[in-house]
Amino acid sequence: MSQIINHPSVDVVVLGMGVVGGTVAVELSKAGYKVVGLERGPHWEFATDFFYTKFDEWGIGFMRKFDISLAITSSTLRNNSSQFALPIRRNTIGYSGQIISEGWGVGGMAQHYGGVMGRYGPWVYQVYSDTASKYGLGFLNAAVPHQDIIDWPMTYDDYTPYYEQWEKMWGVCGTNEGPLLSGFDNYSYPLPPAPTTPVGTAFKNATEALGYSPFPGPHALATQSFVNPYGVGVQECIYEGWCAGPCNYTCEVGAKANSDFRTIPAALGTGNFELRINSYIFRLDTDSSGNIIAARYYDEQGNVNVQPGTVFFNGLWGFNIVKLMMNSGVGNNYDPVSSTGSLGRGIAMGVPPPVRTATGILDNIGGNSYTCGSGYGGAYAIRDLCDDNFDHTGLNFIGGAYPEAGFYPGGGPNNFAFFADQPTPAMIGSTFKASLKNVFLPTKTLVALAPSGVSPPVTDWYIDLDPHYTDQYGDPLPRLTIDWTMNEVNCANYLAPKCADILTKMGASNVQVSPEITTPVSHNPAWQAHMRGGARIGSDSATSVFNKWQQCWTSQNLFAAGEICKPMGDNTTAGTHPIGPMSYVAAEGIKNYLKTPGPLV
Amino acid sequence: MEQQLSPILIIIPPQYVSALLKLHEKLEDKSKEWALSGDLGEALNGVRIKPDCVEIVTSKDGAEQIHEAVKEFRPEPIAYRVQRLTRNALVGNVEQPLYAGSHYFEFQIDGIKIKVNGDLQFKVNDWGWGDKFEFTPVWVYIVNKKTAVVPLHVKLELYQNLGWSDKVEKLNLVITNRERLFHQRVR
Amino acid sequence: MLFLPISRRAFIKIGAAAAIGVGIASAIEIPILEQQISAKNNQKQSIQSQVQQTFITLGSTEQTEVEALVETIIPSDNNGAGAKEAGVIFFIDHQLAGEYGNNARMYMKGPFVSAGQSGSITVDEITYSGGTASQIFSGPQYQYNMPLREFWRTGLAALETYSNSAYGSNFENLNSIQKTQVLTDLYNNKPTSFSNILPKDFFDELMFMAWSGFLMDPVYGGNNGMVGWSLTGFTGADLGDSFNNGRNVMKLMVASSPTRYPPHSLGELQKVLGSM
Repeated sequence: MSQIINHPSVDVVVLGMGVVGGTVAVELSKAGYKVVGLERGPHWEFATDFFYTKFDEWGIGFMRKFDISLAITSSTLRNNSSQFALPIRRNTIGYSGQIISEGWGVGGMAQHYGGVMGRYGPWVYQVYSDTASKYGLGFLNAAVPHQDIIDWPMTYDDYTPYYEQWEKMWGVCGTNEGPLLSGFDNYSYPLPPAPTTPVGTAFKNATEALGYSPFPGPHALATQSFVNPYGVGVQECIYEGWCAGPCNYTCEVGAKANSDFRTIPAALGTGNFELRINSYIFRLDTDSSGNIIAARYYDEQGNVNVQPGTVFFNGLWGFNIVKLMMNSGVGNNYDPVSSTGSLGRGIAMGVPPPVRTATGILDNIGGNSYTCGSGYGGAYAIRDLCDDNFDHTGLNFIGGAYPEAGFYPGGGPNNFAFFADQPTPAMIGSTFKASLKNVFLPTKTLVALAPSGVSPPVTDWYIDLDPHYTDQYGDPLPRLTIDWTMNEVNCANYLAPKCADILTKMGASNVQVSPEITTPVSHNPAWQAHMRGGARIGSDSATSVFNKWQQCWTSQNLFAAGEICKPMGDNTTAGTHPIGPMSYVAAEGIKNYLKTPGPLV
Repeated sequence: MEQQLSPILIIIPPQYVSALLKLHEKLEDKSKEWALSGDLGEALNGVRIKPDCVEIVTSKDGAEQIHEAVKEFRPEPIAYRVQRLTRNALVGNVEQPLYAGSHYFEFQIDGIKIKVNGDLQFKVNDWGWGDKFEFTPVWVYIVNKKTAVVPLHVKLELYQNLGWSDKVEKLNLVITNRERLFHQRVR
Repeated sequence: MLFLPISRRAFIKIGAAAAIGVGIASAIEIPILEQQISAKNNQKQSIQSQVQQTFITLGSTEQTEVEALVETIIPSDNNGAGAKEAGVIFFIDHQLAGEYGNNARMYMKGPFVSAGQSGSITVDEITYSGGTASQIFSGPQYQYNMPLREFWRTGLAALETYSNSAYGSNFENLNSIQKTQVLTDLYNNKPTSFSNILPKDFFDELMFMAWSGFLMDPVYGGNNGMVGWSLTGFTGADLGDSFNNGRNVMKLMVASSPTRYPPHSLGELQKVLGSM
């Protein structure tokens, strides 16, 4: 018979010990506050779980044993409100569809992410007002019908000091992001970039010759032995490369950053922080004013635990924040019909699939396919074709794309998984088998650039609670109603020829551009791994859930950070980097709140 | 608490990070090489040990250069000094007095003691000074500042020569572990 | 470098003595003696091969059919061994008996509704005019109320029935062109009756599991003798230079031409490095 266990109150309750939860835990416990961190998963034991003599590629890459089992909780997916949403019963098998399970355990999603970094540029923070003033609202509404874009509540310049704080703590490697991104005059990424691959060098030389400004693609990797400001460090990457690629393994030496190797140990070292694992958070208790009184969670024995606190920080992955808030009656649920409410509103896919691709073959470029660094290092990128860095007058899309080439492929032998989730009869028999001969020892290297544009939120897409499907505990699953737009397509159509020019300049042969596309990449319910929005920060409480301090408008002692909080994004990064500064803003907001409770805005 | 720490982590008290960054600021444009030694140096190599000061090894010129650069921290005057170490060397199962000689000074940054040794040498009893303590360093980024650190195998050899078998055992274990963990030859 | 010119009479090999005395004090077990490691690993290896080459769940008719199917997908030819020789069938068999076959990590609550339905449907008294989204990825496409073991049982039987009705005999007795055609028919959803499962869904599982079994570490039962890696040039679990053949990963990463190294399995790696 399960019972209810009541815990003594603490200053800060942190929900989720992933990327952002770790920041808040260490910052508040260092400041002398009593902090409890709740995590539904285990605390992985490095030697037992991650050591490379037990690289369980099937278990890690396909059974996703370091991610949450979908038998516990999942989500449902549909493209529009007229459809019945189907549950995600199983992860996608390969890379092209990134429905891979959420993080689970200390470190969260970052135990298996690719580690790609890259700041959002100034444009991302002010898409609505910039576009309206420069090109007119008519332009915006034509490029993105039903657009539901809001500005971030602070500018890129406001976030710059928090970006620096994050990068020095997380250990981001690179130099700068070129002359098109400000904030690097007296600053560069703390760690030097990983060695550039031959393909990366070819891209760098070609883009320079074309008048662009290439820079080493930043990523979250300790390219040197590194100690962060909390005194937590790791030895450098050993470049055996099983951490990237389609299966996105963990890093067994801690070089690819996650909170388990950057922030949590420092929090534990203060003596003010208690970590509780195997704690599945399912409800927030509120008082009559809407403030959070306690978090409720199930422990290993299924007991209901009640953890009261003064302040609560929601660091759950993605839509689980929305699921928890909706199930707890916190926030104002979005109604897509009347376009009122903010919780669940403003979602969009973070990384679009390749819509239109330019490809070329480089002969004898070298750089073996299987050897690898990590975190998608080794590449060069350009910002010249992203955001509003080129004139959009007369065009029919907003934003741009982020050509980058030369990544270490990585990922163990299962690079075949790049196509395994869309197998065709062409993969049967000797001809296909012959094409795999020496595929890891290429004398001809295919380089592909796919400049799919940014996916903006529209009023038709949202998260709500599914009326049919529940999790293991009986709570409704989050239902995602989401699709793609012509914005990604129009951008790809426009930029693909420019990408072909880059490939030609790289000396590629057989440079081809796939045909123009005339419809959205619709009915593709993938890429849930990089979804953003749903509990946006903003300046207007009508259209956002959290304010610029990451504080909930309707529950003053609730803070949050994560992809879910992003009003807008672009394709310069797969997503994690910009949530880092948000976590530092939240930590500061929480400290301010604890000194002076009340709305911070 | 120690048991909870993953073996791959390097852990040093955060106040040492701040102090080292301030030191780096002062030494930014200085030409002479210096490296972190002592317990802090070992901690930066993954040894679980809590330093109580920052120990720096450098050349005589380096010590003078550092001394000049940190003058706003009001270091004591630099002088050649011979100190007897609190722990004896053990040679042939016989304890012998152990001495360290260097161009030496101390100062503090934010309450953390920093000891600078220029041209450090050791001597057992009256058997003459050993070679200057020189080595090829390993590098650790203290946040964004590249810092030289005494390699573990150099410390290991030193401890072997000093007969400090407990330290030899500890460092051997760490070296062996880290060679396995990081799949590298450390020695 | 001798930091201490200890008197000639007094120099003791303290280093060697201390090394022998190293205790297992940390959380990581380090095997002390070489002999212990080899003996343990030799024992492990022989158990391993028994495990790998033993059927746990596939029935004998299923075995015949699966072997023919995977060998069609990955044939033995002048580019080396095919799926049969690689033992792919054992990979599939073991997975069908385990987590994969039992949908252990899958969301298996109802209601069960299939993807790709156009037109109105009603579920739990709510009507949806837009049907369901078509899922093009074989992972989330699966919406069947049955464990994958049963899905394979059903699919294999349905395939055999189709093979007989469309091509006149069991799959394993067709010629190679017909075999490929049967699989292509599945991909195109050509069979009009397929035991209530979508033929393409079964095609997806067949393809994925065949290639997984061929290209993953031999510990899972397939890629016997690392024949898959001999084809692709992958080195398997050789991390750094565990096998003393000069393999330097950082150099390989930026090398101007590729270098082939022999592949090694997890089992071989554990023999050299021990496990943790």
